Amino acid sequence: MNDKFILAIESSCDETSMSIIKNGNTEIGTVTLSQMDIHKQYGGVVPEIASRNHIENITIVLEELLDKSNMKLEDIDAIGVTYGPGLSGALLVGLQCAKTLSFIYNKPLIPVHHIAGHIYANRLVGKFKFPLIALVVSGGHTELVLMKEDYSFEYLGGTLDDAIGEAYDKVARVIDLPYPGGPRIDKLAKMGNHTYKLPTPMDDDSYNFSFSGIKSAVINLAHNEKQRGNEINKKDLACSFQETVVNIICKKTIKAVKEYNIKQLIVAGGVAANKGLRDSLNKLCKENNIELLIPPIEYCTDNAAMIGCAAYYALKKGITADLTLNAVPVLELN
Amino acid sequence: MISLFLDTSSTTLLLAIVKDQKLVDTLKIESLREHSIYAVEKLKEILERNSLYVKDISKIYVVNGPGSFTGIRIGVTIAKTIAYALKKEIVTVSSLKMQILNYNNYDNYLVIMKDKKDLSFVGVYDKNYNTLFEKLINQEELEKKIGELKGNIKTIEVTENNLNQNINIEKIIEYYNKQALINPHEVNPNYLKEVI
Repeated sequence: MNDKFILAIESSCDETSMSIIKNGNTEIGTVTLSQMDIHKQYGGVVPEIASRNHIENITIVLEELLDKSNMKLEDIDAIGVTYGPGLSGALLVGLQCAKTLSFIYNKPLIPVHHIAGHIYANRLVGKFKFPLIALVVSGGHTELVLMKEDYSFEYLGGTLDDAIGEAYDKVARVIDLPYPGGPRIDKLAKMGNHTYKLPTPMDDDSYNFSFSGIKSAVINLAHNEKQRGNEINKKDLACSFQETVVNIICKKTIKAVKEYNIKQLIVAGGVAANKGLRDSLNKLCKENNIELLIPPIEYCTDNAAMIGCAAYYALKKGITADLTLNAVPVLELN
Repeated sequence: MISLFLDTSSTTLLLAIVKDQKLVDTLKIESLREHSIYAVEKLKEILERNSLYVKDISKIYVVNGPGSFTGIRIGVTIAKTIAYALKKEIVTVSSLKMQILNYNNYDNYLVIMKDKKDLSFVGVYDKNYNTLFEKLINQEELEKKIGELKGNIKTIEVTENNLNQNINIEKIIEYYNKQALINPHEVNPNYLKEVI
């Protein structure tokens, strides 16, 4: 079989990223231009600024990628692109670039769901053993997905309100940690103790999550302490919050793994970089004899390498789009 | 020499093929804010019906604003991607200046496109179409600007919906053909408006 090279483009939020992936699992090269420092001063991603930066960077990232990979556009077999979910104006810069390249080189255009990309980041580090459960945790998602074969996604449950990463960022803001707060809470948590009593997030029989309650509880607690003139112990609060949410995520994940008789759990998304979550899942999987696959930290955040892996398996299933493909800001995974 | 004119700055998507300064075909669709869906597809269509390949294009003229932010980003992304990938020449066309190129023998040209509230995108040009001013200004500043203009003045009012309704593509190509080429990496929208 001939090697297949996919050029992948990801611009759904604040990273302009392009990658060349061989055969769905080998990274030839990736270039990612992060706008994190630009958005940091606003305390979050400003959509219009993100779009403006994507368009300024798009061909520069492409040129750097081709130089780095020592490849020409003529060598590419297909173009994979994130078409949703994400910020509309951000998505469409990557999308127009992908459609244009697909048209001028007459190569298949592969529409990739951003979360499918996060899941397939794991193909860079291991093989999938079906059926498997994917736990997707990021700033926009907290989902449990059952995969019985490649590029087939069965939604088991997900957050009913805030995504886990969103809850982290909001809690971080309340205790005056700079954006993005998630990684900082993770760091502080390790130095603190679970001393604050916080309500347990939704703990029912479903695979759904709810984090708005615990988020509000932390906000109220911080305000009350402030009014009483008490200093908050940030390390202890971070630890209390982290342990509470990690516990519930692990509990439901392991329940799903057992119910579907799963041998492999894969973790995906930006919050997969969270040390507390990684450690707990590691421990639980060892105890239950389940293989755990988590991508290295650089593939947990948004990147095009993961989109290239997913695109390869989407193409194998015959998933392609014509030149009228549009960005879909709100998009289900199935 | 084949040139491609591409305008996604307003509600009408406009593509044109110009051969040696002569307009040979135009494709216009009211795509009602759906340029994202149709722009590349329609580019394919106009090239195919003229038996052309993208590689046959020598130069790209892309309208880069001011206009719909989302709209201009679509055209500019397509244009800069082609120019970069296939090493084609590229120039950007001002949506305001392109209104005046059908006229001559005036001392000054004034183009006004109303924005929200009392703000307007305003372009002021001299008799040789050189840009004197292109900015988003309020009513008071606009009146002051008009007061400064002397001689025979041609005033054109446009909206974001009719930016490409009364333009002369051959004249636009003729004028912009003499303008400096731009490195594709530096071809970007001209929003004339800050985000924050």
